[in-house]
Order: sequence, then structure tokens, then C-alpha cells
Amino acid sequence: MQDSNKAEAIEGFTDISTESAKHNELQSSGAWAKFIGIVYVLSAAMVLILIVLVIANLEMLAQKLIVLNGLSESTLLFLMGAGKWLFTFIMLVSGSVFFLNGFFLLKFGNSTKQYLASLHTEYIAKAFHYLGRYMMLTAVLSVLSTVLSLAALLFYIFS
Amino acid sequence: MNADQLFNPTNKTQIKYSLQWAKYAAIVSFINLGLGILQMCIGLVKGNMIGTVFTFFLSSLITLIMSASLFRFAKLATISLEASDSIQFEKALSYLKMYFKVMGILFLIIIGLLALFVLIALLVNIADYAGF
Repeated sequence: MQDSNKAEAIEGFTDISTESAKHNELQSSGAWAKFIGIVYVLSAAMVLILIVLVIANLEMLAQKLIVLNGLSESTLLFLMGAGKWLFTFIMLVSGSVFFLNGFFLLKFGNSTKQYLASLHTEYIAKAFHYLGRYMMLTAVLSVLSTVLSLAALLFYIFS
Repeated sequence: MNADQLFNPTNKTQIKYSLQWAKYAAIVSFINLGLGILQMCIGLVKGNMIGTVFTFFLSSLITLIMSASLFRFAKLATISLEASDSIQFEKALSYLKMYFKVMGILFLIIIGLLALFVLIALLVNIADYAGF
């Protein structure tokens, strides 16, 4: 009888310590994810500011580039026309990727925080939903990076 | 909260969804690492040895730690879901924490370097205006 009580107590203690360890890991993951998310969102905002500043000062930048690199007239025309929009498009895509990464990580961080505060399991589902979205984006970006690396490698080998 | 509550069908579906993508992301990162090794080999044959080796070791070490953590998280969490094992799930979460921690420290280093560059640029400009 005493032995079974002892075993139950040990089991209970193990449950509590596992639970507390799990919460600690989740809390720490959520906090780091939130920090990374904030950095991503700030980066997206900085990309937007950069676009506005470059577009507003394009003529001055082009003049500086002419002095530094000696741009030809056709390059200058490209920079002032299609080049401007290509730059804007690429920067907007980068900004959107930064923002989405940051958004998913912030949501994951907030959901884990809500779960730890209330212990409602629906917040865990929510947290893992956003973590899944972030992982999906990471996987897609990694595939793109692999394709580009492969292209660069082939170019390096055959050039 | 016990294992039954944690591993209810709704949570299981969401956790499985994120684990699936975490696994894909980790595998693609490993492939990227392999490509990095190839790039280093070609770089060694074609040119700058010290620069290539240093850049390779630094970037591949970070990639290896991050993708290994992500892969272990996905693997252990899948096992814990199948067995409804709370202890395995805790271990899996520790790997997720490691993944975010490495990334966070990397971000902190980048922010620190950026702040240093901005400070240097400001000091150079101030010195320029002051006529030093």
C-alpha cells in the first residue's frame, strides 16, 4: 500500500516536472520566435522606407553612379525606366517575405504566450498552425535558394 | 494538462501539419549544405583557399546546427504524436527552442554589426563636417 502510494507520488512528480519542462521549452521558443518576428517586421518596414527613398532620390543616385562607375546612356535610361520598377518589384517581394515570416513568428509567439497563461489547448493548435505556415514559407524559400545555388554552381563550373 | 488533452485530434492535425513542413525545410537545408560543400571544393580548386574555407565553415556550421535541430524536432515530435508520449514531445520542443535560439543569436549579431556600421558612418561624417 505504502509502496503504491510512493510510486503514485513519484509518477505525479514526474508528470509535474515534465509539464513544467515542457512549458519552459515552449515559453523560451515563443520568446525567441517573437524576437525574430519583430526583427523581420522591422526589416520589412525598412525595405519599404528604402524603396521610397531610392525612388525619391533616383536622379541624384544615378548622377553619383555615373561619377563612380561611368554609366552608359542606355544603362542610365534603363535605371530611370524599367530598372526603377524592377528594383521596386524585387524589394516589394523581399519586404513581403520578411513581413510574412515576421507575422507568422509573432503569431506563434503570441499563441504560445496565451496558452501558457490560460492552458487552453486551442491556443496550442493555433500556435502550431502559425508555426506550420512559417515552416512552409521557410521550406519554399529554401527550395528557391537551392535552385539558385545549383544554377550558380553550374555557372561556376562551366564558365 | 495531460497527454490526452495535448494530443487531441485538432492539435494533432495542426502539429502534424507543422512537423511535415519542418521536415521538408530541414531536408532542403541539408541539400543546401551539400551544395555548399561542392561550392567549397570548386572554390578550393579555382581560387581563394582561406576565404572559401572560412566562409564555408562559418555558414555551414550555422546551417548544420539549425537544420539538425529542425529535423530532430520534427522526428521526435512525430514519434511523440504516434505514441502520445509527453516526454518525447518535451524533448522535441527543446530542439525547436535551439533552432529559434541559434537564429535569434544570429539576428542579434547582425543587429550589433549594423549598429556598429551606422555608428562608424556617423562618426566619419561628424569628423568630416568638423574638418578633422
